[in-house]
Amino acid sequence: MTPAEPTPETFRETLRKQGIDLPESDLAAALPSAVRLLRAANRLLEQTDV
Amino acid sequence: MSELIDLPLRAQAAALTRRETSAKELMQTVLDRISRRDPKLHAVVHLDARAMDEAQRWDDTPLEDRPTLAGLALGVKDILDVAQAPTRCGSYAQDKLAQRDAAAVARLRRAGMTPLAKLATYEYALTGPAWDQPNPPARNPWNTAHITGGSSSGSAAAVAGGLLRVALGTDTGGSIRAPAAYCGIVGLKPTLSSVPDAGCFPLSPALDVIGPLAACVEDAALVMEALVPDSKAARALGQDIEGLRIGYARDWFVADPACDPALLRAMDDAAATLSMLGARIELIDLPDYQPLEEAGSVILQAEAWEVHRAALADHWPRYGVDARRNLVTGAILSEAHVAAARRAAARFGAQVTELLGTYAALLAPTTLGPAPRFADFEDGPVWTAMRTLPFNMSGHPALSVPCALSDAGLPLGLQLIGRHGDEATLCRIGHAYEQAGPNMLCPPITCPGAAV
Repeated sequence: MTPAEPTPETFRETLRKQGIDLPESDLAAALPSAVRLLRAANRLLEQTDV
Repeated sequence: MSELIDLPLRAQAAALTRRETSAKELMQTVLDRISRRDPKLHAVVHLDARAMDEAQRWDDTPLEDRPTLAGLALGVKDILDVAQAPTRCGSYAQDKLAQRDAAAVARLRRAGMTPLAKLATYEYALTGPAWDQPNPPARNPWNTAHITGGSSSGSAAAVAGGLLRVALGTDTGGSIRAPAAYCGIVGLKPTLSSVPDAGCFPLSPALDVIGPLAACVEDAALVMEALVPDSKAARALGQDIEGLRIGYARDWFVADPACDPALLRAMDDAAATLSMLGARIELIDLPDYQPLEEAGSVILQAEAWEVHRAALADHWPRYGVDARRNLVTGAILSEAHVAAARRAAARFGAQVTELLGTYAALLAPTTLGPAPRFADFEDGPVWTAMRTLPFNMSGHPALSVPCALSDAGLPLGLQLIGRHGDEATLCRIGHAYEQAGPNMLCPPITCPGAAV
């Protein structure tokens, strides 16, 4: 079971818990990179699970 | 006099020993060169006004008491501390006056070098080029419309532009080797943890290494040996490479659509040159590149997030736009992700170590093409194809040496990967190749008759 991809809301909340209130423009720009990174990280987890 | 600073460090040191010039004259010549050329290159972010005093002290020191590199100028990437100089890490979020030299800088100062110039870096050694940093991006001396690569951008521009023979950089995923390749100079990433990292702002401690960017292999080897005397990096220079087995990872890049045709020709030519020098070149297989880059990225982004998350919360607007947007992606990763990435890194490291039980070194490209244009980055960061990050994960030393010019006249570099702690063999092979390999032209800015 790999973690679900972030939505704008969950990504914003993740960062808010770290004390970062992400401006809308930064959220829009960073989210696609975060999704790509998470997909790559999930692939690593899946390889380990095999 | 103006030509002496273009000669290798050993020749400059010999001229000082023979008293053909003084350390003060030599340092002044370097400063004059910087004042003429740097306005076009933007490599230097701070000059140390005490350099001339230090040069005078070497002139006043008896010859027998001078260390090997006494009186020679050094450049330092601006994430490494130089005592009483600012460390800004290329960021408005960082501005401190360093109290003492970084350990690596201190070792070179003890060897006699004077840290004359702090040099441009991508913001926190992470991403670039960017135009919202305290200094404009360094420019490639071969064509100033092109980037230097990074993150040791100023170090590469300064050495390729003839401002300095050698500069310290750091390499987390290729930040010494890629700019060295893009700028037609030599870059040495030492074995992980071999060079002390105290006084260096971290990016990803599991991957970070400090090392030299230099105008030639001999200069890189001399500095490596001053950084880590046990490396004996300079002592094997000039030895032939007859009989050395070198594994050529041709399949690791040849089918990649990003591979510049000129690079493939240059790599095959390099393998032929090494063979003519007596090395035994054999094709080898390395694991698929893409999963390795992904594992390395997970480690890098997770660790960079840990390094910066508190400061991001406090100083968000002071970080550059690209840097802060990059850093927050690491927040999405879990400990399980990072553990899986570290296992992948360990597996790859074991595979490379096993290969290096058979081969003295491995041969691969550094980047798969020449330096992109600044114009390509106007809408934000651009991914560039290289083959560097896996050797940060494995910790093996790697040396980038210029091997050709692209059809557009921009440099390309090959990479030699060696056994842990065996920078000496890398420098031996790199030096032999450099002596026999293609006669690279100089960047236009350094050519005789150039206005600067």
